Amino acid sequence: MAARYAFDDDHVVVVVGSGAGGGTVAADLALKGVEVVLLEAGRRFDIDDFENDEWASFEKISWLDARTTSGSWQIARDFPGLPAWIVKGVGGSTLHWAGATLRLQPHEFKARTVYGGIAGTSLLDWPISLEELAPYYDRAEFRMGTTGTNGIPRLPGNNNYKVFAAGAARVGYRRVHTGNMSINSRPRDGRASCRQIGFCFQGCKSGAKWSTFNEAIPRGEASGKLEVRAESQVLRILHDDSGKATGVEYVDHGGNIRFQKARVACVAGNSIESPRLLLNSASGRFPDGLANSSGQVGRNYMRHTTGAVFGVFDRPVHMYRGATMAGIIEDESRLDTKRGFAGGYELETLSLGLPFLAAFLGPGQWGRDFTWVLDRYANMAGLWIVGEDMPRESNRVTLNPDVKDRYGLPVANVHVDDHPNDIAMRAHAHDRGTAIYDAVGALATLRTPPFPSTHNLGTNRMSEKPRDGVVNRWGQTHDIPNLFVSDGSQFTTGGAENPTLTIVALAMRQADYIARELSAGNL
Amino acid sequence: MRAEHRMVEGRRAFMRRSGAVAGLGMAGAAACLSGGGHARAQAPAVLTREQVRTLVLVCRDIYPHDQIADAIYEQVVGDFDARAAGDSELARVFAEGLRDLDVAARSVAGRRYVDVVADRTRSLVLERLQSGDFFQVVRGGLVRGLYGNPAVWKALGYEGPSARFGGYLTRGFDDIDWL
Ligand SMILES: Cc1cc2nc3c(=O)[nH]c(=O)nc-3n(C[C@H](O)[C@H](O)[C@H](O)COP(=O)(O)OP(=O)(O)OC[C@H]3O[C@@H](n4cnc5c(N)ncnc54)[C@H](O)[C@@H]3O)c2cc1C
Ligand code: SF4
Repeated sequence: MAARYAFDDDHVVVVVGSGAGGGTVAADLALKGVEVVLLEAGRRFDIDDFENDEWASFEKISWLDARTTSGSWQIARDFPGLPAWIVKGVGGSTLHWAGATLRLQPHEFKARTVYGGIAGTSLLDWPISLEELAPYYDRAEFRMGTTGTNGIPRLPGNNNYKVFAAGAARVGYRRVHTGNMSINSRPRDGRASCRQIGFCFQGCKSGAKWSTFNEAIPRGEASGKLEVRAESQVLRILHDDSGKATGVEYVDHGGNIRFQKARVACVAGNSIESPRLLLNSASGRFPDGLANSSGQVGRNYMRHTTGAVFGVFDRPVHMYRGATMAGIIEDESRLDTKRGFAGGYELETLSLGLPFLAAFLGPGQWGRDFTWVLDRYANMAGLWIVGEDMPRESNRVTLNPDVKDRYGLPVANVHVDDHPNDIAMRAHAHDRGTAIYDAVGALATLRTPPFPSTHNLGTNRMSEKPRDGVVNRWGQTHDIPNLFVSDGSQFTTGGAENPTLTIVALAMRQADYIARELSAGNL
Repeated sequence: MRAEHRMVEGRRAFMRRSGAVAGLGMAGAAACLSGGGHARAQAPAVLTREQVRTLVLVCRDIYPHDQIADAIYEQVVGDFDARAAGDSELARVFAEGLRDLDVAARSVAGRRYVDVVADRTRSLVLERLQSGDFFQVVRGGLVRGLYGNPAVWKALGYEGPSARFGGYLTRGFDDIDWL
């Protein structure tokens, strides 16, 4: 039975946002007996609401509230009002994530030490190591039902994977498989196995793909300790004279302003909304925003070095049939600075339906060269690049005083200038992707620029010293002991891997810490 | 999605001109592009028949697919017309854009756009307009209207929704035979 708590119940932990981080920390706390109110700005969808139609789904479940962009990144030109592709709904972006579930590598926790001081970056070592996170990675993979772990077989390869794997073998790659995917390859944990529907980005209609929407949140609710309030957007975090967080102000589904008291607050709105919320919570005592004595809130925004390559063949591929991202080449994620850049990247299979391919393939392109490719849609294969990008202080989320949301609060502006390291890595990866398809006889290959960011990281980063970041090794803000950050904005650096497993593992670890501190009377 | 953003930018530009506050987000963009629906046999609301004919040709020239019938492009133009009927700024963009198009066609080829026979020459004319609001509104609307149309999916070999058929597990997800 889901719990119900009063607005003035100051025993509860309030969690803001129900995605990978927020859904996990809320559920794990509830499972430990802690009373939790989870506030989510978006609706609570049902599996029947998910649509096998890219635009219809996008319009239904995405975060479409205004945002602005600046900087020299191509997104600011191609998609100026849409810096990121994020879900607004119970389950957050785990509704439309593809399921790739990878661990960071040991050296990626020590990026500053291993890569050295690269000019124009704000590289920093994580205050934790892989060894510390490993038990939580184990726990997260088990809960998420990740293929290739816990004896769970990998998914079968689809056509897009077969082209990718054949090309990879010909260019000499060795670490090639269908991925560590949190998609059931056989029924597990009350959820069905993958039907190879192919609309993983639109919400899985078979329930095979893990999300906080279908796993953590229902489990948390069943404990009787978790109350989820959908369509409840938090506007501000409030504090008392001593500087302790006291609760949050939010707008409920009826448009009423509410105040929920809290003993602890966890912010998990993803890396654009989380810093925005802290900045919008500025007060007389904290004029620069909450937890921002370091001035680091909103800085060091990362989005991975990405891009895509599509190959056009003379025979059918039907890349869209089957799991969207079940294929990986891990060879280029190795530590090897001889390639002309620091950090590594993964190559993963990617398919887009015709509607999205037309929008993303070559933003702004038209004419016969463009339609020549789309005429061969059935003969295309695709892959995606995900690599470590460099944190920079000037790549940041700030409040845009000129544009307000419907509640009158300034929206987020996302400023990015690619670092030369990112540009060099993207060029290298585009070349390798092209070589893979050329090796299996592509008629043509196309390199696409980044899509609106799906991986958004780093804007409340974890640091050993309070002056270097926003949160400590537990995701607890350096400034306010009962205020935590529980999402991907904690990342000190991004690594080459898709981030969700690390977000979930950190949230599980944080839940253990909060529960411990609560029972010790420290919070 | 650039399409939408172009459209938003276009609309921002109008709003700036008309003194309104800029700052439409994706929601505005989505709303302004979701419009309309289906092919209409009846007379256009805002555009003249001549303008419809020109716009259909412009659409085909922007995204030429020989296997796609005019009727499909006409549906997109029908949606433009329906939207323009409820949006005077958009109506003005079409009116001014079509006028500029013929001016450009006359300067490049000495005749109206619809009377320019060579595809290449019409492309040259379009290139002159490609950074303007008119071109971007048409191209953006086409990305959604054309490539979101199940008839086009079929023509280009995209099978569309699959959950209702049980996915591709038993329908060829791994049937590639030429590698
Ligand atoms: C198409 C796509 C594919 C992806 N594939 C993968 C993949 O294969 N592997 C991988 O590791 N990652 C993938 N990702 C990324 C992954 O989805 C995110 O990294 C992850 O979900 C982020 O978790 P989060 O907790 O930071 O935020 P989210 O999961 O985005 O959750 C944030 C939630 O907070 C809510 N919220 C925000 N502000 C407020 C507020 N003020 N009040 C109340 N609620 C608020 C939002 O509505 C949202 O529901 C993908 C993303 C996309 C878009
Ligand atoms: S391919 Fe598998 S995970 Fe993706 S939507 Fe289909 S059933 Fe779900």
